[in-house]
Amino acid sequence: MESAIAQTHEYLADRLQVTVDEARKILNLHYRNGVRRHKRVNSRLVLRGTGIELESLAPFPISSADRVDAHLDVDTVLRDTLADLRYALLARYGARRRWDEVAAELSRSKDSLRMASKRELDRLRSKLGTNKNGSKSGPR
Amino acid sequence: MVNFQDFLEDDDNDTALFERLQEQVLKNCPNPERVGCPSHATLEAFVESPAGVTLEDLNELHILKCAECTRDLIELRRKRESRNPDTI
Repeated sequence: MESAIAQTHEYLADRLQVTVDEARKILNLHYRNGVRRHKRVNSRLVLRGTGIELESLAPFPISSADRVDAHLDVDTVLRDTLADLRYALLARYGARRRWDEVAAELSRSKDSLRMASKRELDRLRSKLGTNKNGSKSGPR
Repeated sequence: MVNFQDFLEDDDNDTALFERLQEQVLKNCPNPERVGCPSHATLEAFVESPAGVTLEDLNELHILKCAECTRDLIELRRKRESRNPDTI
């Protein structure tokens, strides 16, 4: 309210004759604007998390070309991945072993291994700009 | 090289994803000084029988961050496939 009074005082400083009603309307206008401004500032959404968590919520990355050119920080992407899943990803990547072969070496089923590594695979897809059907994601 | 991304769904082995990952590593992770690379023998053993090689032997995720190791692995897989055409 103090801010609205100060703004009204400034506004009326140059005007010679103003009725009480007019002054009241101007004061009301400045007050309502101040309240709106205050609400806008306080209503901003705040993300409490990491960028990777935000990216996992986005359906498609913005530009697949940018994704391919950007350095992929696998240490961050796989920072909390268990050792056996790391091994599985390396075996798939480096030796190109099929998931069923890797699962057999880990004494697991192929489906359980793929489900367990789903988060990592989705993170990699997101970072690489690849969606689940294998195609590159482009701008909408 | 077949461009899976253009016209095929990714298969059960997520082949397109790993091909894209490989492209990314080859393009963005040069390591000409071979810093932290496992030995050629280790990479060869890994391609032939991954179960016989530990994460420590591979220096953890190093091959996902090294273009030179990735090129070595591509060549080792090619040699393996030429001996055993039925393997992927």
